[in-house]
Amino acid sequence: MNFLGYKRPDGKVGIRNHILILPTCACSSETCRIVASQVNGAVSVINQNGCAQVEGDLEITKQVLAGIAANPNVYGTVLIGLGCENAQPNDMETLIRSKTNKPLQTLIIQEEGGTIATVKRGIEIALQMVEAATKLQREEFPISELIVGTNCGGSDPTSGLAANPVVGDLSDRLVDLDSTSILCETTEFIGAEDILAQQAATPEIAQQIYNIIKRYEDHLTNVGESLRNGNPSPGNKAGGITTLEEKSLGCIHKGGHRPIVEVFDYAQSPTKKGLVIMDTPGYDIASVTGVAAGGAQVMVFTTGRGTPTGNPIMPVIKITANYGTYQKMKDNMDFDASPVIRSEKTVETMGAELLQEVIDVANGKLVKAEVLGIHDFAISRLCNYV
Amino acid sequence: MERKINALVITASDSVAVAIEPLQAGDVALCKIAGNEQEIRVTQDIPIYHKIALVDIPAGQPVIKYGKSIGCATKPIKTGDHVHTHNVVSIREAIAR
Repeated sequence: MNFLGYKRPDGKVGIRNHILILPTCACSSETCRIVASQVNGAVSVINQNGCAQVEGDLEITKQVLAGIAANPNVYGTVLIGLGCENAQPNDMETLIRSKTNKPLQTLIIQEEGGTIATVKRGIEIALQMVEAATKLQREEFPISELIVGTNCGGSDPTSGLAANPVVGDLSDRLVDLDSTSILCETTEFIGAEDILAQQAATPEIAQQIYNIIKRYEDHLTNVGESLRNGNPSPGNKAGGITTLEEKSLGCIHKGGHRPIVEVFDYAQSPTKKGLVIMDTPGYDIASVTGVAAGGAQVMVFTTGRGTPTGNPIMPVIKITANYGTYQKMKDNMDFDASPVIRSEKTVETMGAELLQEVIDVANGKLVKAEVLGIHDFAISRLCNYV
Repeated sequence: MERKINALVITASDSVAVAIEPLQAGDVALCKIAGNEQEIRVTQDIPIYHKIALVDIPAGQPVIKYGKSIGCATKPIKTGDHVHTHNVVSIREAIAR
């Protein structure tokens, strides 16, 4: 089974061909937005961080930024810094170059001489990159080149009944085709950790699954909080999800049934093919951002309540099994899994249909969030600013 | 006439079903458990996708969905009752270390 993608000089294969205008800090985010708004083919992201971060938080920020630049959906990057921020532009450039040899140019606002000079130079560079990028033709590649993330957000009981099992079936199909499927949202393993641990390929991986949950719980305990204060959300409860355990037992269906072969940190890339776990927060926007930074070319995202979410560089295919939500938010939903609820189609049939949707999107079909230009972006955090 | 299933049961050991249409007190929920149809007389209004007790659940006992505990009954729950945050609370399951 093949798809049409763009070959990158680092050997990876993208399904989009974006020019990324990447801010090292909040202070250059608006400048990046202005550059991207002037260049057809360019996208920017909002980076809410800049200064006054502890080392651990700075490291998360740097890994996310570099990971997004290295994502194969990006042709090349214009990195724009302010000059005095924590994530120093030269350090960021070095980090990005350690991950990829794709086109990269750096501008520093304090050196260029302000916003207007930087915007002018940024547009000139981005324009040249777009010209080069759009000369590239798609070529055929095996589906094993795909890394697919799975996530859920605005869950309701239809997520666990149908949408997540359909995504789980997709995940099994991808793994059987030698692709990679990333299960994430660590906080939503709680109450279902024993099932995941049994699915681990080795006892060490089972222990890692328990460890990332414990690390999360300890972290919240240390700041005097409990994650049950924020999860399930009011919308989850209104929809009929009662407890975090119930939410988790529904959530983990997204991973399917194959052995879990690797567990790794937020915004890192898998080193193995098959079903893997990235340690991400249950906050869906930060989770999706981390998965994009980990190199996934496409995300499959289930929802019950309905969400418009999208990502600047990675198509997010949105699925709901709540027919009312599908009808009400058709302009945000890409795939209707409600036939499973009504016993009109099996999970397996819809899993096969979803695989075809993933291939269509890989080949260039735009998802609703891309058509509408929805570019959600959030970087996960360790603690407050200092 | 074939009757329509209006509540789903995920595993045979579950103590709750999920309404797939809004149900009112007095309605009959029809579900299929391990291939056999079962009727439950609903005692309270059940919003769509909310849970209905399939059996009596004593206070302090686990509520089972997906074949696993999703929490603990905080008061006695009768067959046909609406099962949600007003009568179930999360319990942290022991994590093997």
